[in-house]
Amino acid sequence: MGFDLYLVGIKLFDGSVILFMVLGVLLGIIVGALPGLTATMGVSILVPLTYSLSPTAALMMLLGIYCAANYAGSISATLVNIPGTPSAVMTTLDAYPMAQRGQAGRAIGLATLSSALGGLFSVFTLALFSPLIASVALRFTSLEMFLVALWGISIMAYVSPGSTLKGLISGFLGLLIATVGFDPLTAAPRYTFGSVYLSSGVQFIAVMIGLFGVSEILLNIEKNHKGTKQELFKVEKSFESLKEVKGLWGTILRSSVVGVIIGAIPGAGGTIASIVAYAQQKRLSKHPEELGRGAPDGIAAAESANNACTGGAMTTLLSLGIPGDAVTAILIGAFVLHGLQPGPFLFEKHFDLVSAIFIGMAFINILFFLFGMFGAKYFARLLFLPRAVLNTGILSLCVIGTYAVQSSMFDVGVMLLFGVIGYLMSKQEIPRAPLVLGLILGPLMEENFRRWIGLAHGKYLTVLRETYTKNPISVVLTILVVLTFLLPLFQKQKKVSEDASNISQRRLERNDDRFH
Amino acid sequence: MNKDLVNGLVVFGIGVLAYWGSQVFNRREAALSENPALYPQLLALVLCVFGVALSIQGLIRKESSKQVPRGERTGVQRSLYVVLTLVGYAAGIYLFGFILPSLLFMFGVPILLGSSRKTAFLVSVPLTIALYVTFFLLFKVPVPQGAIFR
Repeated sequence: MGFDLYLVGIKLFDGSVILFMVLGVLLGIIVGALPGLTATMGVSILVPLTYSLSPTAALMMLLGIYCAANYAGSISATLVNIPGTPSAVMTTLDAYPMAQRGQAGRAIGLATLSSALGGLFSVFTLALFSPLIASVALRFTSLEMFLVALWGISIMAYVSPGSTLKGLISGFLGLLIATVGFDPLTAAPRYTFGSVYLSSGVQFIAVMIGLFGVSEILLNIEKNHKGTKQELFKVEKSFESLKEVKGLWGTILRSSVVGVIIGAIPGAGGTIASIVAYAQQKRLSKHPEELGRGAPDGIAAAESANNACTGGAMTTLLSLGIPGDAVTAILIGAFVLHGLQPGPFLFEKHFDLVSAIFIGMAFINILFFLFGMFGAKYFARLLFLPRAVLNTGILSLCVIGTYAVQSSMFDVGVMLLFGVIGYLMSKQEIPRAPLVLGLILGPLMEENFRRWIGLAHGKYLTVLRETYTKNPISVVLTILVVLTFLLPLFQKQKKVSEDASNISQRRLERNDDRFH
Repeated sequence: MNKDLVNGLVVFGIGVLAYWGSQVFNRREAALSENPALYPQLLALVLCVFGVALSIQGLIRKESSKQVPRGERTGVQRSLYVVLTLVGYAAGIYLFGFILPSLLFMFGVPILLGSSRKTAFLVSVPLTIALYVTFFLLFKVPVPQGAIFR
């Protein structure tokens, strides 16, 4: 592969790819700036729109939404003290007090700059490490591939808010749903109840739109978010914050490293990364008492970490086929929609596309930096949008988008069913992301599990012993899986993700009360 | 009633149903790796175990029975009405195509969610056109044409 890997993708960039990349970034900023709409929802409901695009254009648009939405959560965090996306929850602590002092432009400038630098750092690590991990993963045996997928699901169950057991239940339900349709080895129909619609399995895009689009809107409707009615702070002099970067290099670099590492852990995501980076900053800061009162390093730590997560999450997605968070789980769906399978073979078969992803993600970070710096005050006006109208538009988009994938009303029914299931799961505090991950990784897990059983010819223990003595990767993976299943015993660590969701929820509720 | 206890029983029930349903395609005579029921049955058994564990957890950690606040109940009702409207909308676009049901949906749901009729009327047409243009013209993605017009 060599250095070509970093340049060959340029040839895939034509006018339309750039156009859809810009569109993705704009949509991402809109989705991110509006409290209640998340990057996960934005990407899931817009996947069907990319159906007719080239794979490069489609992925650039979706990656644009992903990265830009992660950043844009800071706009409403600064202006109305509500994180636009959950990952901006720590940004509110310093950005809002700064805005209250009449420095909203400075706060948004710092958030934009830190997000872009964190994102660019993560693209650098993605380009550096994903080919290395992929080259190791190419040598994985079927047992190891099975263990990697199982570890992915179990760790996502662990880091999702709520009980790990419920996360595991969600993941295994996803695995079970993935078995619907023709058996890949014998072509026997499974759980199809004689329906031709179910013979090719449950359409995962319909499931994703239902779980993350419809159910999220139903939850919003239930809480009756109406959008802001308060006066917004004036966003001025964003560019002056660029001068401050000199004193923030250390913070941005440290937090970006935290973001990349946490991003690579399946299910951890930007919220946890920003909390950990913020806590780290508080520990290392010379003036820890200033954090939480409008300190620039607080904004820089939170924003660089949550955006650095994107590259970390993409590293495991591209190299192993294991998504690092809910959005990258949905991106697998987009890959599959375009006939691609993320994982080590992507580097062998679609070398140019992988290269285009590296280049594209770097440009996306630059694009949202420019849009954020020049246009934050315009995007801030989105906060005045009547929420009832917005929710109605999104619901219609969910229905039409699902129909568009296969021109199937059956899929629309599946989407509505999973919308209700997702809503009920949320009410019962059962995380939804592991279900999607299980649904996506199900075929990979089953194929490798049965291949390993077939190769063992009944001598399972002998083969297992041989695998473990000859291949240390299997031992490491098995230990990781066992540890993840045992981790719930150490509930203190789990508190991080729970704290994150609690802070986010409290902040939303408090602001809701104020606005109504 | 305890939430986790009920959830655990539901999960256990799903596991039992999945195991029972797999008997239809169970090929005991085939080699283990070629039996299409092997993997779903294992998953079903794991779900049963998880279901029992969740029920036990629910029994151990007793939750206080709290009254559902009135506001929350209205919120649930609102969500329920929206789900019913969505089902009607899906049926509508299947029968009549995208435009007419979308206009009605874009007008009706904002009112259901608390917007004024004037706002709903003012947004329904541009929103429908925007979606149509985005899907059909910009992204060249098919929108439903309506079964009765075919």
